[in-house]
Amino acid sequence: MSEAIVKDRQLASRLHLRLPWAWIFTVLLGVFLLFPIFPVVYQAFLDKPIYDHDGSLTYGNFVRLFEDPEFLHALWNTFVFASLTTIISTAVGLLVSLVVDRLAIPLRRTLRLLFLAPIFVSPLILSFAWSMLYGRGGYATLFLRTQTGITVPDLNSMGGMSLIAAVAYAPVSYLYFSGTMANIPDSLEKAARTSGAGYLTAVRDIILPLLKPSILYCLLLNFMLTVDLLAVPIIIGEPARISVLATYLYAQGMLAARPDYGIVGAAGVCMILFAQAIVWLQSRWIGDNRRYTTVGGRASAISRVTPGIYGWPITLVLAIYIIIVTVLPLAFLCVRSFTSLLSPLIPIKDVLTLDNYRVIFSYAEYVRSIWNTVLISAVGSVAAVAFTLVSAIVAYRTSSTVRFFIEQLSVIPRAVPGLIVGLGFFYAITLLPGVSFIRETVIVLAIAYIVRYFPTGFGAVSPAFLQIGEELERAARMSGSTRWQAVRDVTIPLVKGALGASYILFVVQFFKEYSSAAFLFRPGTEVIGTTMLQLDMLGYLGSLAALAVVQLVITVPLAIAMYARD
Amino acid sequence: MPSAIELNGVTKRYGQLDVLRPITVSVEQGSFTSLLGASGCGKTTLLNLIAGLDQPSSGEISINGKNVFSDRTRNNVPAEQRNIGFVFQSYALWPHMRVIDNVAYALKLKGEDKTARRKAAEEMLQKLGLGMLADRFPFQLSGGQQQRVAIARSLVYRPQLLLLDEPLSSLDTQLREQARAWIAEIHKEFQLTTVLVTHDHVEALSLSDRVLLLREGQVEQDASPKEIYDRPRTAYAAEFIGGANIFRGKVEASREAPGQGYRITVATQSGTRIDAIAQQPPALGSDAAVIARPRVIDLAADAPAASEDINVLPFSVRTVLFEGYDCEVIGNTPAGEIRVLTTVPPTQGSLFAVFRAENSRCVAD
Repeated sequence: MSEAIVKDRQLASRLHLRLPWAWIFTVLLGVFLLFPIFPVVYQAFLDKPIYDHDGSLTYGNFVRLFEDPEFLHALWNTFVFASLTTIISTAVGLLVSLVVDRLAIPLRRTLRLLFLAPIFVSPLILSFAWSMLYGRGGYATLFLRTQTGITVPDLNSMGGMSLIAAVAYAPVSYLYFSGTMANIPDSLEKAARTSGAGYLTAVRDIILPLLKPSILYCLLLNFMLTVDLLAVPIIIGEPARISVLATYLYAQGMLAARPDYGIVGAAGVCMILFAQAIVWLQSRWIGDNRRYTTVGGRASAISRVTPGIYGWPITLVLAIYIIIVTVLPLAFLCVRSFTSLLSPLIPIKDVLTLDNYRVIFSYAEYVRSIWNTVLISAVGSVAAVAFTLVSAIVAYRTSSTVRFFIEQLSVIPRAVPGLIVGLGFFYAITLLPGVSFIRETVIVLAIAYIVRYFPTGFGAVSPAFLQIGEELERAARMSGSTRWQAVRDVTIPLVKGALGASYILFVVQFFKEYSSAAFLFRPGTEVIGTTMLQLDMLGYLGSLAALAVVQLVITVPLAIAMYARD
Repeated sequence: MPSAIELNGVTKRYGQLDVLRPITVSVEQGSFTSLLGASGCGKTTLLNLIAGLDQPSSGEISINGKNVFSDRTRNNVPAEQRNIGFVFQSYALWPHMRVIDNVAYALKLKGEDKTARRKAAEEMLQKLGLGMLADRFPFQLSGGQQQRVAIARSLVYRPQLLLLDEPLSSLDTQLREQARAWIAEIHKEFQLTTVLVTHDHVEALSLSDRVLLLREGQVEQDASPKEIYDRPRTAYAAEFIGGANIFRGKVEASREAPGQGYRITVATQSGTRIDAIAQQPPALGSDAAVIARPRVIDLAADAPAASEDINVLPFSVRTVLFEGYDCEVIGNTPAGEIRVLTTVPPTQGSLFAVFRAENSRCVAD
């Protein structure tokens, strides 16, 4: 037994911590988070559908899969799509972070909040809005062609798909850089300036090298998110017959009259391997992290550089980007929801109507999808927060070995695509006896969502735990409180802020989630995302816009509360 | 020869807050000046203004006779063109660069070729006894080593000035004393005009030949270390530099004393009379403070005859702190609580605090 473990044990026994329980919890957590993967892998090696009990093991599915030209095509498209998206999204996120976090430009806070908007507007809504505005026959496309003769490049193309996906993920990239940037003391930059470096030189020689791990991480994260992205390929790519892994899986598993279970399982395994390879690459590339951690001294507030005459021009460029990318499309979506048809060729007063909303609120399944989404977001998020809190307490208040395992486990779902999570639970329910009844309820969706967003929530809570230090709890125990009283009276009040933040994070994520629901929903458990996909397929664009507006009205205030802080 | 630094009416405001009120100071070539003060007094801000890392709200700054900032001509030479060495409190070593690259970076920016700048950086490291650390990364260094590398980095490009922002505050006590002696040696060797920001009066007194005591954005006192310690201009200066017992009261009598300035009698609120000397005669009846350093006060078992040369106050011992050589005794007198430093621990509780008038100073309060 290593010395560390012996020390841990001693410490634990002194504190009367029940280590066995912590270990049991850790194992259960691991099973829970890995749960969706098992049935998918199992199905991949079965020659019959998973619910057929006389199937036998085979690798034939993979052979068939790799002989399918459609699959190989989708695989290649996925690679191109993800690469393009990753590069654009990372570059935009980095540039905006350098501007917004390091320069004192005018309207900084407003621009930052607006730039973040795509995070809480789902890529689904963004794709619809872009498609209606900038797509083939979109309003802006027609307007420009008829009024100015300018032809907009075709949005329904690989380039167009990558652009939308990049726009949707640029705020995610930004947040990563912003977080790292906040930990780079401005004295490092100032030291470069007194050594004779101008602002841009200091950025090139000091800031960028220090951001290297974040850039790598961000590249991989974007790649993974894009591999997992269903909305953009389905809405923008399908009309141009560009298929990617996600749409291939969706078409084979969901849309096909007789789903080929073996092929779906094998494709799912490919997707998992793809994601795992990326995670592995990331850990290989970065090396000794301390080279990028700033050392010594106390951290102080970062002062932003005054950009002088460049201030307003920078603000203007950023504002134009934001207007084109989010403000215009979303405004258009709102207007569209109140019209029967919107075209530059027809005066708007002739087409104004409330019919779209009437449709949404008169069909039981549409109303139910809104109600289900609200239910999962509001109640499911409470469960998610409680689960995250328990995991954090076990991780940070027992032993360092437990902590290591839980921290490692907590990031696993990040490498499992949403479609696979849905598929895995879908299979699992057919497989496990006695649980099929939950398939008829939204509980199964809530559970899948919790698995999927556990890394996000845990990531929001764990820094708070690391910050408050165990001494505070020990002090409470020395004053006579029991272990649970100490947690209840000291720790929980101190992490309240982080718990609140993670709750809002869960609500926003659960609200816009659609990919894991795509396989799991059935009549009675529809959510907004799945209904939107249906409306898109039926071509009811007005109602689609109305539903999107309903979702925005509910989530935007929450999102502002969450992200308006600097 | 022009002054190394010339500040003329320099101010700094952040919103409604006056961080620095007009400051006019000139710093001599090759001197070592300390900016001393409590946190929030504006000392680091002033250092940043000199370095060009921050802009004054008004005023003018010249370095070696060349104007680098002026609100009148709107001249502002950016930090990177001022050729100043700056050592940050956190050292600000670039964690992704090896020690040698940290040191050679400024030379790289000046366009020196690779072998030349490596040689210069190595020489500087050798000179400061850091030769064997050249290929390490900052995280592999101890705090003291980091501090030396930071100084090497700011000396290598032969700056016109060396600015040190609390360079010793991140070190532990023992290292701090070594590093202090080391900085004194560096200054002697390089003969570089140096400005040190510190909140530690021992650092300021021991290192510099001039101390600027700042308080709330203003210069409280500007004097040599000896002068500021022996003749603090205010009660605040006395308390901040070396600590002092302060007796507040009103001036009751004042007369000229040959060779000492003026002899003042101050009556405290409790009615105790204390004699002290003063440079300038304060107005009768005005508020005044008498400063008596803990070390000039003796504790006696029997009261000597009180005279206008000797102050005698009944003293009851409250706490005795043994500090090795010295013994700090805290106790009450009719004029308030005082601290006394003595080498002989008191043996009884009721004593007399005795100090000579010529060893205590009266300042306006």
